[in-house]
Amino acid sequence: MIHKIRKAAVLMPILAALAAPLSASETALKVHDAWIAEAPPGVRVNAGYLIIGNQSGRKRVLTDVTSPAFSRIEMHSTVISDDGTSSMQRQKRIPVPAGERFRFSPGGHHLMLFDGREPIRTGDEIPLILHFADGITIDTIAAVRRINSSHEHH
Amino acid sequence: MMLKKKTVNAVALILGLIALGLGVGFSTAHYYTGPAKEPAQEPSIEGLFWPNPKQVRPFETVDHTGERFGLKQLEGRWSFLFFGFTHCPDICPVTLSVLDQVERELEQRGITNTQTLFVTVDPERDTTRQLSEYVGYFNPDFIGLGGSEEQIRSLTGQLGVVAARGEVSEDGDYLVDHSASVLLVDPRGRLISLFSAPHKADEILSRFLDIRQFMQQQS
Repeated sequence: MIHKIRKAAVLMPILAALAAPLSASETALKVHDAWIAEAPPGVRVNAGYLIIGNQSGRKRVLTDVTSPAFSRIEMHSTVISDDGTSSMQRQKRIPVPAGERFRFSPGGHHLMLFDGREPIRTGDEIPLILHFADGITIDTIAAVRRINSSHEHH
Repeated sequence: MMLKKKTVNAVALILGLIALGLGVGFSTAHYYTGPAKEPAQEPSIEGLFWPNPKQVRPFETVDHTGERFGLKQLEGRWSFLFFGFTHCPDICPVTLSVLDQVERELEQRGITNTQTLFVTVDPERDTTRQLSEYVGYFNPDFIGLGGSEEQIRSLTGQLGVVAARGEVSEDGDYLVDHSASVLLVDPRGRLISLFSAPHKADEILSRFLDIRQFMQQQS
């Protein structure tokens, strides 16, 4: 997709750190394994997951995720308190330290995707745009699948 | 997006407070004893409420087919109970898919006297029809339990299940904080164990098999 790789960026980490805004490839931010859980029947909200790898020399902060397929996307984390209660806490900023990965995964951090413009089903591919604090955006594609995908042959 | 902060539903709060009290009871009922010898007298199984399991009292809910579901329907089989709501995007689908895996593993082992119950803590949105479509998506044998708020409370109240409605957004959406634990009720209607989140199918399976074996030794 729009996410292109330029080798020059790898050789120029210092320049990359000084200049902003930059394209994703120049900052060595990688997004992979993005997927969206198909919503069960009658449910209007989807959960999405992905991994961000930050191979740049500085901390990057994810501040927003958008998609042409949804009217609103929020970042949440599922928190289990000591008494066993789960609650969802909205996250406005997701810092990804230099050289580290951040994982959105089931039961932990997740995207909440509201009001799909049309029903999405397993096999669909949904574009997501990740917005970082310093003006960087990264485009990725999330595959839609069942949360218990081993169940499909039932 | 602007969120209107709404005061937490008073009923849910009271329920939560009662539940908190009961929750303390739960934690003190945990047993962490050394490895058992011989036919176990003192179980070494984590989270097993023994020797004083709580007897579930009569309750009345409505299942996803519209039939009454009460204490009688818990008897004669092992029941995994999970409490949530269908508009819960993350922890509920995750837990139900874990329980689906557990049920399929049990089936492969020839253990069929189990049932998985999804009890809604959001009866306003989770109608019988909604529950029916929802639980069937995860496993055709899953049972969804709903009914009026009072009916649901007849079950959640005595089990110490916490539920409280969160913020309501402009478009009327809201989330419900709720207990993420899976409860295990034995075939005699006794609350026998509790599995805490995060849930893993192999852990629930192996602990369940241990508990089942232990209980067989007791009778």
